[in-house]
Amino acid sequence: MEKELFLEKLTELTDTEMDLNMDTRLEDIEEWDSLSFVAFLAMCSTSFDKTLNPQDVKAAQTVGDLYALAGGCN
Amino acid sequence: MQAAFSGINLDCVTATVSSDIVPVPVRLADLVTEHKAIRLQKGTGFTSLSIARPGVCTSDYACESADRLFESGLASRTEIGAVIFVSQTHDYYFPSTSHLLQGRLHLPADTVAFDVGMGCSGFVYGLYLSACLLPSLGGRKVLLCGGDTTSKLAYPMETQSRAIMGDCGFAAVLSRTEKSHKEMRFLIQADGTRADLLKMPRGGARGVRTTDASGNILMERENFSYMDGAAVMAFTLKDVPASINELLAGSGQAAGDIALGVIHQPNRMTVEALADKLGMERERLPFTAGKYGNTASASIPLGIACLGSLPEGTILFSGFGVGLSIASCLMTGSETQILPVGSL
Repeated sequence: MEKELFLEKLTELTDTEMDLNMDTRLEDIEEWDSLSFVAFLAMCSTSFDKTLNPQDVKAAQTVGDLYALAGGCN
Repeated sequence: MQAAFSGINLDCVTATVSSDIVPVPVRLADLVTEHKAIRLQKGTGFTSLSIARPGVCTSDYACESADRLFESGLASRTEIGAVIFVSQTHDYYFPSTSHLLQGRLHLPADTVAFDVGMGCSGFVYGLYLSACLLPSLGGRKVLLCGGDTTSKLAYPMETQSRAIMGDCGFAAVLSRTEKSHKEMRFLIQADGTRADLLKMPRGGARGVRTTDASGNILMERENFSYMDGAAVMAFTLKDVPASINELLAGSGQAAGDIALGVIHQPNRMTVEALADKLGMERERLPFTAGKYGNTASASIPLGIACLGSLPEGTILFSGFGVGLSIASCLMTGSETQILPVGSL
């Protein structure tokens, strides 16, 4: 998946007004909360057919880490 | 376990919600900004929640629902041979709420009455137990009722459950006929190794809810319900579609053969993700609970009552969650009367 498309999907999913890039730290995104977290699991499962382990998502530090989990090459 | 029963009919269904329907931003007013509350509404799909008025219990909603079925003439009290109350929010440790309802509803003295302690999968468990009981009732019917008032168990200091849990009760009547084209096929699965993911730690024999000297519940986390939202979502996305596909395979059908799916309603995101995973259009697996919230064991009958009618063909019911538990049913040939959602 293209990085641009991923950033677009993540922006829509979190409903954030921030400009996200691969280096954005998740702790800096106010909207990266438990709701976004489960929405991300659902998106990976339905859009990319990836069943993620919640622990791996919890361990993610940056948007790039999420991109790698979703199946993109960082 | 997979099991099929022929000649079982779901005669009638209705559900009763609270007369107090609270918009989510009002429910969360003490916890988050309005902006955040609106974001939660959008994410969960719940714009408002059915919140039980003080003193109103699940049994009151179940009783009201059953009374409406009897008073409308869709069922009669004297033909009931068993009453099953499915809930996690029973009135007392004992007696069982089913016995209280047998008395309140003036059901015959030779009625089999028992409670089933199940949540999100509870309605399908009730259908299964009804199908098991009916052949032994000599032509009499089963009153399946229950629901939950879990909004009262949501930790008031956190948004997680408070933003989604609603209260509701339901009643349904099932009968047995000789018509063999009517079928209910079930797949029921349990995974107690993951029981801690959804749990009410106190309030049972292993843990007493702590109170102050005046009897008010203390704001300790363990006095309220707990959910590991991410792990439950992972379970729902992986185990639930696998289970439904296994049931379909057992019946020689595919997701495309389902006329309508009425499934548990944890939130809109989950229902839509399951539709996508199963390859069903969202209209065939609708999200129906937007005004009322996640009503646990009442979510499927409330969904039926919101829809108002069931199409001909195969109907899928699926409940999943606390236990962990998955219970699904493929129902064909049933002639079901539905009363609109009531309020109390």
